[in-house]
This record gives sequence, C-alpha cells and structure tokens, in this order.
Amino acid sequence: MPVKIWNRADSTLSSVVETVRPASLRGELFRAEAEALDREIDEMLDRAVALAADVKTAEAEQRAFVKRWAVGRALMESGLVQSKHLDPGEQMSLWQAIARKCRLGVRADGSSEKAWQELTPNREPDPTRLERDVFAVGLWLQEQELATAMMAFGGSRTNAREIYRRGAIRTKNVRDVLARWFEELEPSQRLTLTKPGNFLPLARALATRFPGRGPGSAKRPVHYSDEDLYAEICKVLDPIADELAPSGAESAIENPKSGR
Amino acid sequence: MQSVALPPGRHTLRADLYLSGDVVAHASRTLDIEVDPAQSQDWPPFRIEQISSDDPHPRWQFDKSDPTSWVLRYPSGYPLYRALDTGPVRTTQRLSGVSAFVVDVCAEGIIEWVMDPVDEGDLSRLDDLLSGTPAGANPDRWENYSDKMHELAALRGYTGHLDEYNRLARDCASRSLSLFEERD
Repeated sequence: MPVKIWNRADSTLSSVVETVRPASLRGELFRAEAEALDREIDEMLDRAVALAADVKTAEAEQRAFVKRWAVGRALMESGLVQSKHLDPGEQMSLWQAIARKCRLGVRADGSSEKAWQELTPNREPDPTRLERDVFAVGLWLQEQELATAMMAFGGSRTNAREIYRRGAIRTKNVRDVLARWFEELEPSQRLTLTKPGNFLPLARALATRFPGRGPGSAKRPVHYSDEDLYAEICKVLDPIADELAPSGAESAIENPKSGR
Repeated sequence: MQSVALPPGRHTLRADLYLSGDVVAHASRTLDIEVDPAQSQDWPPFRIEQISSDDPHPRWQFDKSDPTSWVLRYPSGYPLYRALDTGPVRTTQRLSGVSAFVVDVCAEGIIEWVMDPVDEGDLSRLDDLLSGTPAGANPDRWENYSDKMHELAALRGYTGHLDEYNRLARDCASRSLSLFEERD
C-alpha cells in the first residue's frame, strides 16, 4: 500500500510517495493509490478525535492515555493496518504518514486540521520514536476496552510503555490479568501502585518471571490459561504490593485516632 | 511437524527442555529474513516530490542543496498535470494520464542528473546508467539510447551547439519513455 508522506518547508506543502513495490519510480507511479489512502487516514483521524472527545477526564496524563488509546482504536476500526494491500515493510511508512499528517495538521486536500495536532505529543523529537510509541502502542492498547486498559495501567502511558517494551509480557492475557489484579486491590493501594515509580518494580518482576530470552523463556504467558496466569501473577505481584502499599495503610495514616 | 512462512524481519526461535518441571537446557537462534535486493527502490537516483501549490512553478526542477541526494520537484497545480486523469499506472502497454507526466519529467530529470557532472569531466553517472541492459528492455533500442546519451555527453558544455544539445536531449528523453513502456 503506497503511502503519501507530507512535508512543509518555508510554508510550502509537499509530499512524496513511499512503497516497497518494484518498478514504481520511487512510488510516484502509485500516487493515486497513496492519495486514496490519505483520504482514508483523514477519516481515521477524525474518528480518533471523536473517540477521545467522548471520554471526560480532567487529569492531563489520563487525557493523553485516552488519546493514545483512541488513535489505536480508530486505526483498528479503519482496517488500514489489517489491509491485505499493506505490503511487508510498509507499516513503518504508514506510521510515518499518519504522524506527519498529525504534526502538520494537514488534510488530504491540503487544508488545515488543528485537532489532529493534539493527538500526538509535541515534545518528542525523534520521528521513529514518535511513530513507534504513539501508533504501535495505541494499536496495542486498544486490544483492550478503554476501562480495562485504564485499570491495567492506571491511565498512565509511562506504565503502559514499561509493559510494552518488555516483549514477553506484552500479551493481552497478561494485561487482562493485570487489570483484574488491580481491580481486586483497595482503591488506595491501586492509586499507590499505579504511580510510575511504583509500577516499575511490578513490570520488572513480571519480566523476571516471564523472561524474553534465555532459560525459562519458551513457556510464555500466552501458553497459560487465564486462571493459571492469574495465580502466577498474584504470586509475583502480591509480595511487592504488600511492601509498597500495604492493605489498610492509607486509612491508618488518615485516621488520627490510630495512634500513628 | 508444522511449517510457518515468516515475513521479512528478525525472528527468534527458542526452546526450553524441562525435566521434572525444571528447565535443564535452553537454546535460541535468530533468523533474519531479507527482502530480495532486486526489489530495492533506488531508481531513479533522486527523490521525487510533489509540491502542493497552484502558484506558477516550473514543470519540474531539482533541489540540489544536498549534493548526495537530489530531489526532483513538480507542482500539483501545473496546468497540464491538473488536466490529466489519475487512473491506473497503465491500462495497456501505453503510459497514460498523470503517470505519463511523471515518467516524462523523470526521463528529463535522469538526463540532467547524468549530465551535470560531465561538465567536470566526470562520466561515472553515465557509465552507471548504461552499465547493463535493464530487465525487459529491447536490447537494440537500449543500444540506440545508449549511443544517443554518449553523443549528448560529447556535446555537453559546447555553447555553440546548444540547439543541437537540446534537440538531442529531447530525443533521449523520448527514447527512455519508449524503453519504460516496454518493460514487463
């Protein structure tokens, strides 16, 4: 699937076509297809804006998490990624095309769309990282419904990235079980453990239990039933939770009559 | 036994040997699946960029600001381009619509790209271009194109032969369009 990569220099908009197809004069002969795709991306980004607007949350980090999920869900609904026309090796170009449209806020007809610029962070200088962290993570996040994903990561992109970058524990069943594990904690424990500094030991412990390589790496989370995986994850995470956020700790601190 | 087809990229195979529930041996191997180099996209030897503008621009021009990576730019608002159909690349063996426009400007661009260093006596780009008959090209027509390109290089820089140079350059561009149409 040839993609159209927009650019703006000295206030002039320009574009190149990228594809892995052979005999294409650097993709230029497939510009009509790339422009059709560009219009589909417009619809997808409009849908992402609408999905994000449906969720009301005041907290900035959660807002950013919701946007990332919304981009992923809109991408999935659009069918762009699953398209049989997307040749191997072209997915990075698709991310680049979408990221560039967001960054420049440019529709297929060249008109401006400011709302898209808020879908992507504006302080990430490395385009590869932007594309990987935003679109690939968004697509991954949306495999769960928003409420479940919010529960698994406390609505934090940083927490989500800690799991995402550890390939062996990236699976949906780990995240579903993680959400279930958090759900069964007291709200105060949950709040404490989803702070990025406290979430990191949880992610590390899971990665140690399910290594990505070396001894013990062949049996992966995906090979467990949900119940067995839940039991394993409780075994790994409960001791850390007891240490970092003991049950009832907050009520003890908040109650002046407790004598502490 | 089960077989799988792997897409291009890096893949890792891992195996653990368990004895009484403990891992007693482990091995892993990495496989790199590459795309066929013959499918690489390095032709033409410059990037092609469309300028989104209705203001008057030349039919095409080179940005040579990076000497190692020239960019050929053409405007989407160019009247001839606007008037052409955006259809499939070719419905028959013949080029049509905007594709014909793009191939035409590329044919001219290739000539400029090849001839630019000839001013300094450097024929390396000409040699690279003509080093082998492209797949699907008629050998006789390629030979004729090759001869004309050598004639063009010989005329390059002789201001007294500017008319002849321009006529020959148009002839070369026309021949390369024919060669492009002949490809599989």
